[in-house]
Amino acid sequence: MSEQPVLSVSDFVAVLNLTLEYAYPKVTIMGELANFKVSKGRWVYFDLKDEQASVRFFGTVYNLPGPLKDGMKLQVSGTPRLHSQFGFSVGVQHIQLVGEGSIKKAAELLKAKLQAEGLFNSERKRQLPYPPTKIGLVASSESAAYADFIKIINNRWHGVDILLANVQVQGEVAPQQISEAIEKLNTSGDLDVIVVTRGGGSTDDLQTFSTEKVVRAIAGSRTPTLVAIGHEIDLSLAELAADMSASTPSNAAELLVPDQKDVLRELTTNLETSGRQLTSYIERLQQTLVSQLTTTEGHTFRTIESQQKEVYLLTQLAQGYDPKRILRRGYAWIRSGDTVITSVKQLERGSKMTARFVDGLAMTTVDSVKRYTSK
Amino acid sequence: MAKAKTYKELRQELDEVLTWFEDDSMDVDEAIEKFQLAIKLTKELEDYLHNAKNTVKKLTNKA
Repeated sequence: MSEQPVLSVSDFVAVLNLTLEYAYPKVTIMGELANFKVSKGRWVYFDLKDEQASVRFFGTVYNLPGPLKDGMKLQVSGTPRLHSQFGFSVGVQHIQLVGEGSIKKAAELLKAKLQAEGLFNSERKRQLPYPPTKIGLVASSESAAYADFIKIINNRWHGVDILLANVQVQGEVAPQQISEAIEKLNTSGDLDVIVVTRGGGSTDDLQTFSTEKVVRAIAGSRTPTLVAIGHEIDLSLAELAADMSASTPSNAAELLVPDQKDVLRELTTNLETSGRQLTSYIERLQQTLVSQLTTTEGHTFRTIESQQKEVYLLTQLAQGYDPKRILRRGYAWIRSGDTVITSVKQLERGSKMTARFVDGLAMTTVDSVKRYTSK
Repeated sequence: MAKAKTYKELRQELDEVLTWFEDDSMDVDEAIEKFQLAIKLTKELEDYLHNAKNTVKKLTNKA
């Protein structure tokens, strides 16, 4: 019978870790969260337990999907290890929430935290260019969501360049892939918008879109974002952080680009409207010209009429001065030699006068002169 | 050769012309000129919408 080797404590720890590394390079354990603690804002300690057992875990805050609370059901992947001083623990690689209750509770906690930071504030929302010419698309190229999005874009609009970042949209690697894709697209040229989309799924499938990593990547995107997750109830936190959200991938495409048929109709209508405006303007011009001409004509007519009246009056006046007209009324024109007699002062007894009537002359001698006495 | 105008550029130009027609104090010669420009831009936009293509490229270095 072979003897058991005697190991030093350090050797035992090293051998056990080698064995664990070989036998269980990675384990995934599901249980209820207990004794959750964050130390110095960086290190995370917690236990997962069930009715009979409890296992210690150790990780960093970067492994967390968001704020956690004791009692939540988690599925944690990691590496089991015996620490030389602190004993056995599983080094956390990935934490996934399990069950609708835990997922919703975690989402509520994260929502409250990010809301307090202002990540969902309406004043942060930016206007999306309409229609965009360059779209960054974060989706799984194998998904129906991707196919629907592309189909609707192609049906509605032309002239769009789409840069696809093919990612997994659920599972352990999804949050990291999605956040990296958003960052890469932000540095991949002048995109007008980044669309993050996937189809519907269970609460469990969709939890990627309520993880802190994804939500912060969307909120921090320098390019405006549109998030479309195909589900009806409860918006994901990614949708709350986006500049715009859509109910489905197809709806996202509809919000992004107009229907070409509508635009072509609008172009025709606009041209017709401008044509009518131009015609109406020319008609108004014509009316103005006619009106001005009528005014000028009226003025000319009135001027002529007034001048005609003036001529008539002058004629009447002139006729009043006609000597024959006066003589006809019984007056006579008296002269003495070449002098026209206009006053009795010019006469004396015996003065010779010629009185001209309308029809002849009478030569007379003055018998006497009597002058009126003025009062 | 001058670079072809984008939809956005053509649309902006057309919208400016159409807005010009909203103003009552237009000049008739200019109005006719603008209307001809509106016809030209509309035709260019229609051509653009009929002929432009959508493209999909994959982002390299898979995320």
